[in-house]
Amino acid sequence: MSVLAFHTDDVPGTSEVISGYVGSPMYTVISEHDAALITVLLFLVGTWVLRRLARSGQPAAARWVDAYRALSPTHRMLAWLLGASGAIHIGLVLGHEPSAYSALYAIDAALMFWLTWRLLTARPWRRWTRLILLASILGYTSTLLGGEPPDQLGMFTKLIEVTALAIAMAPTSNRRRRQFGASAATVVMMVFLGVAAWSGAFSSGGGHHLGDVPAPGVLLPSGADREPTAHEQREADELYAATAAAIAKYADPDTAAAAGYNVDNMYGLSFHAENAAYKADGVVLNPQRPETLVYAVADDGTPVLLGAMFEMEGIGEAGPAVGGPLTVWHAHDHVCFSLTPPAIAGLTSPYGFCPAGSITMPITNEMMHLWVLPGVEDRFGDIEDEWLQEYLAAVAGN
Amino acid sequence: MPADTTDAPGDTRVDVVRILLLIQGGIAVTSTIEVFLVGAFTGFFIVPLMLLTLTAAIVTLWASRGVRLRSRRARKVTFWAEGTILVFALIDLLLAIFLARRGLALVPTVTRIVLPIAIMRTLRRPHVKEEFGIVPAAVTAEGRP
Repeated sequence: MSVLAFHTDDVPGTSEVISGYVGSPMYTVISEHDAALITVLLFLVGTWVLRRLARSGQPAAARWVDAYRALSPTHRMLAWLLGASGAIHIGLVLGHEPSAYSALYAIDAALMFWLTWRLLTARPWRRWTRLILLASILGYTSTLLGGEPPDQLGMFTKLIEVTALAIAMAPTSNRRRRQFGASAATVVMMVFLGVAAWSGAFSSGGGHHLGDVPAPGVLLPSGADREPTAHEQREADELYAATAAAIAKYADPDTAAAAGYNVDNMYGLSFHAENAAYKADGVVLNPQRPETLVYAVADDGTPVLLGAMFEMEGIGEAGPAVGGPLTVWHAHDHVCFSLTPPAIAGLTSPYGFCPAGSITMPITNEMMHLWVLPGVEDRFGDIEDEWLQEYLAAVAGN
Repeated sequence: MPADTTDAPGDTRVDVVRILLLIQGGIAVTSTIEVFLVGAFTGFFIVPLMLLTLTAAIVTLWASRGVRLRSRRARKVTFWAEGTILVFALIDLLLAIFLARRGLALVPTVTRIVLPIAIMRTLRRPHVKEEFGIVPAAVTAEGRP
């Protein structure tokens, strides 16, 4: 737990993904969607009860179970998928305040059950199923592209619906071209949904202040932002001045290398040069010995020292927030770590996968950046990419 | 409109597997694109990882097609692929439990544990094995073809 003992209660739009931390909603089920988990479970229990009633000779139940058994295996799966999506949408209606969205959820739920009914009663269903599922998936992706973050329940529901759509799109003939077209459409749909999910997650999250909705892969201590006290302001200023003075000499990467920082093969806009000795020296937040230096490489190849990064040694150890809300430590979650070769390989995708041959680090130790560039807006937070590009262009120009 | 109600020809449990593999293929293609984009944004291309992810996508989609054609090799490859997904999911689950004191989230539980187990279990069913031309051991012991 962080030394900043705040709670998430008053911070709308944030979700506690790991005890004591808030993270991107993409990796959790937001509280408004809890009801949908219950309704989908009730749906499963309901089908079990229906089956029991059919076995005990209840005629209406037996009729439905017989209709289900008359279906082919893929269409049985389709019935399950449509029913589950309908149940989830009922839960979404219950979990949200009345709004245009909840009305759409109600319509979606009704339509999913209507499709299930058509399927079970051997009425024409294929075209309607394609149309309604496509509309539901596109509706969700458009909200993601509009800046809404996805959550686990949203992605789960859309996975169900894409699978259902893949069944509904399967051609009734064995023509190769049609088979290929239907398969290709499914893959394209999956990619489209994945890209939209990333877009929503990144456009809705960001920032390193308490109470912010973090970007995917970032964990912030739970709690709301507040004004720093005079003492915290003074502590933050002192830490900043001491660190900036201490690391100024590392503007020359050779000096940094001589001090033990790994500056080999520097690239990109956020190259982290680690000092293995400082990372394991048991010293925390020492301006003379930051665990990592951060560089950017300008277009002309000039390395530019951006700042330093302090790091805690153990996972779960809270960094000393000496400047209160001004010096907020963060951790990372869902980091993909390649085993071939060992390196950071990105973040867990909205579908829950890391690239093949990599594992998921569920949480890292806490860290805090300190930026020494003149004019930087947020000294302990995040540097805006655009601002950094302009700064580097100016450096390269000079 | 008869095509709107009828089943696809020869629709069996194997087609359920085909659909699930297709979904996994879509996920793998998305992962491949993500690896390339991460490389493009960070300037750090991990070539073996890109090749592995691309191979996983191609193999999964090939397996989906192969299963539809009742290819025994596709069935065997599917077992290996699903087994690998399960092993990595287990590693991630253990890391999550020991480092973060939590389990896997909803979507990875479905895509990395439930789906592979469902696919493997379906492919092991006697009727499905027969579709791939694999005669149950009891039958061959009796000397039947």
